[in-house]
Amino acid sequence: MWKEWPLVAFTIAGQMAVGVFLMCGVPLALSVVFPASAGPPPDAATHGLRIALLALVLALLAVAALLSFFHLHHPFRARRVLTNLRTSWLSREIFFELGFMALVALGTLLTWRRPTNAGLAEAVLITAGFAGVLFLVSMSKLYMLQTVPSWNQAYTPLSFVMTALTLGAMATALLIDVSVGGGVKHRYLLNLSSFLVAVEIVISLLLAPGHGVFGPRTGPSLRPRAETHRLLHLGRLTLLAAGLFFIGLEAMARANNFIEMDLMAGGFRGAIGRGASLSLILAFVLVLASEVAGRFLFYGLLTRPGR
Amino acid sequence: MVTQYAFFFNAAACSGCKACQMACKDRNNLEAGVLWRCVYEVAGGGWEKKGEAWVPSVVAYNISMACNHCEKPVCGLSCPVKAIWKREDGIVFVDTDRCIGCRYCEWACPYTALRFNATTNTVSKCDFCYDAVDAGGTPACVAACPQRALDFGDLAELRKKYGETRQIFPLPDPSQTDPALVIKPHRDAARAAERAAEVANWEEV
Ligand code: SF4
Ligand code: SF4
Repeated sequence: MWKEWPLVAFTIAGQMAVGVFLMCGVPLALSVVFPASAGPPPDAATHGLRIALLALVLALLAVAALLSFFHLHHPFRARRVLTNLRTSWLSREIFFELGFMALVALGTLLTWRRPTNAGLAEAVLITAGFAGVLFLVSMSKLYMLQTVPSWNQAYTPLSFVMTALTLGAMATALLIDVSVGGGVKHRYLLNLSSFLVAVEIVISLLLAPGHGVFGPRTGPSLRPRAETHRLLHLGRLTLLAAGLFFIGLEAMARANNFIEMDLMAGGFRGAIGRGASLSLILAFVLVLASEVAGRFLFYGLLTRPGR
Repeated sequence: MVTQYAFFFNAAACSGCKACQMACKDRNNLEAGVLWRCVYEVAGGGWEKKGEAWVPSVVAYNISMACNHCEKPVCGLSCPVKAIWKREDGIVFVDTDRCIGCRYCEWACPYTALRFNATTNTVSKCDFCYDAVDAGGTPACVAACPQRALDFGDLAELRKKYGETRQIFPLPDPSQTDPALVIKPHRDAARAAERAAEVANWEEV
């Protein structure tokens, strides 16, 4: 289980990249395609923010790709990895990751250069959105092997999508705070994050038994259940609950503009970035840690005799 | 001509001596921890009330398992670099010069047949002693069994000789991979699941 750390990092970084992109890239594109929702033309700060968000997506994807090499025992042979697109979901996953990355890179370049033909950048970004979704789908299919019953369940795609959306919403909120300052404007991202974290708590509570965290294991594994799984499950729930508390605090502070509360929530505001509040950073770190615990748990679910 | 080589395993005859496992390790020079063939000890049960008396009701038998050179080799179907391939006679091979060591096939194979080999940094598995078989010989495990619990040959022939069974507890649903395997079940096998049997030596396999 612990030896899968490169995969834990790869899947979480990859999913977060898709999440950030869906939270920012597609809305960015749509706001130009449908000018009604666009508002005033972008100023320099908004433009900078767009580039920063897209750069974050690219950086996450690059980190994910780099980390995935640590999982291979013959990284130099990896150039052949797209050979089996016909039957291997692993080939397909890498194909969609590379496609997504290339499209986001192109979209970033086009957004940055602000071409006269704005439609092109938007078309590229929307296509990238589809590639990102396919990246998530292929990642789920990769694990939903018929021969691994504990992975071949709705929880696999559900948890991957939830990781993407939750971390995506929170990272986007954080980056907006750091680059253009916090405030009530992006409150919807905080509300969305709280909602998503709450949903994650419910999903992990409901689906944990089906994974053999408590009951008997699914599938052919007869290895005794390890105590670690239960601890990881409880750890993840605790971290999620703590994260939810801090996002809630931040969302409330911004909603009511309570000075005291704002002070409490954002004691370190200014020290860290223009507008990043301590509670939002804390919430992000806690939720990220819960995703890491959850992912290790996920890999721990695969046990056959001898593993 | 053989179109699908297969193993036969007689669970009723196996004593769990692991001679097959050792013969395989010896022939293929496998380092510690790498088992191309391994023996599971399945055990379970307890006391059962019969009338007024409590009587012991235990299940205990062994399974000797290697790669089953499946007709639907999900290992190879999952491999991103096509490093696992099937010969015309059905034997499934790992190309260790091509394998990138991603270990995805290990997840896909429900028989734990693929084993990571730290010397080559690739996965490895039973190759049916193809060189011996090509020369008219016998796989090392089959030759080593003092109980004659293992046999090999063309799948169709083995089925004619020993029947159609290819799954006993706790092996996975055979429709997942269509293993080239014929089993003669131990008499305890039918009760194993209901008696909550487990692999007793899981550290060893
Ligand atoms: S037993 Fe496993 S390794 Fe062997 S052919 Fe079948 S799926 Fe592949
Ligand atoms: S470990 Fe090797 S043989 Fe197995 S799926 Fe990966 S590349 Fe293919």
